Amino acid sequence: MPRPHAPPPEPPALRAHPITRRGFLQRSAAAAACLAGAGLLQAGCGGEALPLPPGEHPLVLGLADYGVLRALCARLVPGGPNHPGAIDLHVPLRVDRELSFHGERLRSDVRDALRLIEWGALLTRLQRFSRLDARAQDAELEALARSRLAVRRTAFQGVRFLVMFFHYTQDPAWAGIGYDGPWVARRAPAALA
Amino acid sequence: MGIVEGFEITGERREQADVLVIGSGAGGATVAMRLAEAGKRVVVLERGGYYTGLVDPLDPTRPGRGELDQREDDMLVRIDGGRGLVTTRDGNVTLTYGSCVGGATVHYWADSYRTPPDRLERWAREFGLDGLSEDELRPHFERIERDLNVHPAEEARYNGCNRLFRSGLEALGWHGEPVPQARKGCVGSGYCMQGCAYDAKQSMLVTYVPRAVRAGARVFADCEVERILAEGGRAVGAAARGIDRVTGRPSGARIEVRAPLVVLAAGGYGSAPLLLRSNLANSSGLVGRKLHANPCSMVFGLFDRDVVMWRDIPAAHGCDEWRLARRDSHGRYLEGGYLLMPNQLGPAVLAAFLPGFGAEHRRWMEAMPRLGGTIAWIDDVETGRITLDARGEPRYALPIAGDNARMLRDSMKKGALLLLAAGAREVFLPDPLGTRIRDERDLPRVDTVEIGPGAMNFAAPHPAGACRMGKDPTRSVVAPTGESHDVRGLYVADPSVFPTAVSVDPSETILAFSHRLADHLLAHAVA
Repeated sequence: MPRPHAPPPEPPALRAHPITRRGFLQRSAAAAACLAGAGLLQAGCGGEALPLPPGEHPLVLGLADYGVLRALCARLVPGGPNHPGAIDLHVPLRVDRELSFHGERLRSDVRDALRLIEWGALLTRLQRFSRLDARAQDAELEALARSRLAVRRTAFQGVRFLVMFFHYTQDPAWAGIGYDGPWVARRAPAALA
Repeated sequence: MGIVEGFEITGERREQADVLVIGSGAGGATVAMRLAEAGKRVVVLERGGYYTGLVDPLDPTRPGRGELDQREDDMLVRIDGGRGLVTTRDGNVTLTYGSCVGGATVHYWADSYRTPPDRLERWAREFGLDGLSEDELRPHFERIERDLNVHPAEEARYNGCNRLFRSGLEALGWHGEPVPQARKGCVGSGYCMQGCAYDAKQSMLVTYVPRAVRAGARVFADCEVERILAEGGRAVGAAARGIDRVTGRPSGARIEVRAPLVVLAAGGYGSAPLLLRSNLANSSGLVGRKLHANPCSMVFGLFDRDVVMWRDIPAAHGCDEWRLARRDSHGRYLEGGYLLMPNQLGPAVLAAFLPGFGAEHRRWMEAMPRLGGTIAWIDDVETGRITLDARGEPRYALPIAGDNARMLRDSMKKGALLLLAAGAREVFLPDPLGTRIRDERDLPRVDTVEIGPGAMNFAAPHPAGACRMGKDPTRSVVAPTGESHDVRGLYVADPSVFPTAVSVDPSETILAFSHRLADHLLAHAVA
């Protein structure tokens, strides 16, 4: 039986941006500048963080980076009246815990991405991402997704991938999406039992 | 003795064997089983853990531990290499490979194709691979197909996406047929990618590994080989460290295995880094180079009725119409160069690929039952490379450029056409904009959509070429027998040796090459 959900609106037409070697080099230089700038800002400003709810203690990310992740989660998967959002399902902590199993390369990639998103907004919107209101945050995320700079897109898509995956892998997230779930019980491996 | 797991291994341990096998996937398990059944002392070192479903693979009369629990997050971290999060340096390609007892066969879709004869002829012609003709491999294929119950997908196991895929093929007049499946007693749960909880998928975990163990092979799980040992130009064993499965970090345990024959089967992404770390077998300079990986494109279609792509067989029906690339008289790419298949994704991976965020993304997720899709494994021609960083960790590069990019774009067009022919209300791409295709007039959008890093992500599940096989030692890493040109007694038995991608799912080719290697070892090498 057809479901009542309407498909999402048509996106604006896409323009082609062929990558030339010179363009690639420019992008690489811009990427390096962006990352270096974000890192310096984080260090120089101390990266003071928004207060976290009681009991929420990240293992890997510093409080400032974790605060950015939290702000991103709130906009990427906001809750609704009949379904939980990423904050409700503790996705920021889940992503942070996953990073604890990985080496420094992935951890630093994620930190760099969070800092680029946080401080990149300062250039375009004169305020850090985590301090923007929800509407401005959404506009900034749209801009990141459509950016001509691969490094901005990659930062956004990398974090987005983790948040979406670790949200929709959880049973409560399946409410309202028609997925009827696994046929067997969840089980910890023998090494954890 | 069964399978020894990491938490059972403490301190320092030394083992002796006739043959050491590194890796327990399609390549390693086959060699281990054959040699153990011939009475040889075999030790297998496997980097990943040992996980079971509802039945104990070593004794099917007993219940299993239920760890193959169908949860996407649990299973990604248990059976996938790098906990499923390894990408190329630019993030454009996700490397999909196994890391558990049974290797990538635990998460594969059970598609079981014989190596196409045109590919074997090309390997013979360009790389001097003697003894690998269709006729010479046929007995191996027949044996594998008996052992793994390979048969065409049954109609009863076609899900909605498979049926739509077939109807789209018929409408377009493209050739397709039921995909040969390595299954026995499939219940249609749809969790092939998460490891079959019912032991119905005939992975190495439930077939060749148990046979190897019953024949006396000793399998050590959670043991990461750090380097292969060689003395006087001859392989003599390997040194490994135990991995704590809880933390993913070294446990402190160490194991050294001494054996006059070492069979390296750490997989298409794993064997080359191990050779590079061991500083072995690289006089050609080709270890880690010439990497193929079948990066795959995805296209989604929104239908007016439920499709439910997450149940039953992932790809019961396949399209080989475009398997070989078509080129003009100057060799310029025209179209094709990929297998086109129905797709199957669970909600978590689907969510990561669907476009947008917030309310827009939520609407797509709420449409999940009505989503179908195609996936295309491209027969990549532009090769990548595996290198080591300063810490000795592998880094991967795969170009989404040149003919690879052309194939990916063409495969998205053909996938879109197929879904529209199957009745999709609209088709969309997994780019940040969710580029829509509502009819053929929209297809040129695929030519201009950004497919670079951060715009699209291509999973690459079929690595090949990083330790390629050939007659000429200056152009290859191993000889047609599978033995290193440089190090006697060191063999490679995984898809690293394929000179190019296979152009179909490579599992049966890996198995056949390994059976052939086992024959060679039993006839000529092992004491």
